Amino acid sequence: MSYHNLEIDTEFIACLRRLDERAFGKLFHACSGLVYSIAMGLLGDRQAAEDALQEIFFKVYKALPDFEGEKLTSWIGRIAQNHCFDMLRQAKRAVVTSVKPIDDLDISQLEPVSDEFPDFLNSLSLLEREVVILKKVEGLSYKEISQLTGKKEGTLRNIMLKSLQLLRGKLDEK
Amino acid sequence: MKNSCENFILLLQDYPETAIDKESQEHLAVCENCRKLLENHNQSFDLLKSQLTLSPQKKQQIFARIHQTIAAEKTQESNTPFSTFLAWLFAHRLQLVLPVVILAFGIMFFSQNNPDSKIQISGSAVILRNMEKIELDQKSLQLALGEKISLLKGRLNLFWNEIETVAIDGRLDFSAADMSIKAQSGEAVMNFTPSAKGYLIETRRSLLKIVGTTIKLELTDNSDVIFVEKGKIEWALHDNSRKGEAAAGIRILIRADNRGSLTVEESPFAQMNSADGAIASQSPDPGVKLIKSGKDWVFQEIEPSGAEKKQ
Ligand SMILES: [Zn+2]
Repeated sequence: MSYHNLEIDTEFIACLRRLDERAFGKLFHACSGLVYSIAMGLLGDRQAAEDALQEIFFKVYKALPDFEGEKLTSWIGRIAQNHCFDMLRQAKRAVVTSVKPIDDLDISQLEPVSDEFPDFLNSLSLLEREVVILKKVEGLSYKEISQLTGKKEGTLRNIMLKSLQLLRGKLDEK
Repeated sequence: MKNSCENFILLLQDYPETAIDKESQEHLAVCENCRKLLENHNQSFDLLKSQLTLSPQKKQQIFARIHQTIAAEKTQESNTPFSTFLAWLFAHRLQLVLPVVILAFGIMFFSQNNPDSKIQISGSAVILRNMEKIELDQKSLQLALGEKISLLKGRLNLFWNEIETVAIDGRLDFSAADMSIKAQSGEAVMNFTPSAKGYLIETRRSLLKIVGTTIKLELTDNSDVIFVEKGKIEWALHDNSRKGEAAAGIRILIRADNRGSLTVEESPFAQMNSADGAIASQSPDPGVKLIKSGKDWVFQEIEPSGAEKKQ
């Protein structure tokens, strides 16, 4: 995948930090697929994911001058994930009359059902679904997903195993 | 479930990064369940991959919108340097030196941004303003600096400080500011009067400097086509990677490919009938050049001549 070697190019990173338009265009075309996958995984809706993609890259643009040479992919992935979590919290706040502070709302409790996904993915939590998409669709390593989500690699492997067992379970039902 | 079936599902955790080893291949040969699982795994994730892939057109559209948001923010920032500056002064308890600094700053400020500048449109045209359809019918309408307008049909004349600068004919989403027009999309013929010399047209991909010109624009999501009907323009891509001059009879095609990289082609075309809506065009002005200095576009004089040029 094209974003895997972006990090190595220090000159490219320097161009990004001074908001060179060409470099930003290159970054968008390399990473928009990853960001869209994260947004779809968490939001489960095409239109919402497209809007999120736009807003996330605007945030990325504003944050680029402060980017400190860590992994670009996981940095963008985290911005994307946090943005979607914020959207989900707002949506949840709109429907739930909760006295809990917003930060206590657990993303993993949110309804993951979307007709965009096969059944076995809808049986997972939102975060689990995101992990499976990052692994199987975006081809990230467990290490990269761990940097992005903050979950331990062992946890991620368990999530993957759970999704495969669900897939096998669906086959047995047939 | 047999042990080897469990081993196979563990292997799928890392598949396809990790290939199916010999042992698992042997297991697959004898276990229909695991064969079905592998087949379904591949089908499900291939389908998901295709569902989660944005078309190049969609990507381009979204990127254009990001570009627009960034540009809009930049305009907003540059429109309020004075108030930002005042806020900064007060925040730093520098009221005492204020009068002196205001004087110095005021000179800078007003020389860049004429406080009296007014933009008006009139003509026989249908426009969309704030989601409202308006029939101009020769009425004159005042626009705010940078306000977005869509010309739906007909022809409108744009006046800057009550001097007609351009007639726009066709369909165009645009906004006008001091000495510049931002053209988003559409197809239109733009006839500039001599007073529009030095005007800038900014499209999503390029900057065009007007030197007594009639041009026709065809702006789409994937390309800018600029027909220079009369006079001459200077053009440059936003990243300044390519720029040039085009005289009457030249068509400039700026095209974005799937990955967003731009190609520029210049070629001759058959011009419109010059009697059609002709506004006096001046001889091309060789005295100013558009150059990029840092993030800003500036005009650089090549030879000291024109009294009407202002920086
Ligand atoms: Zn088996």
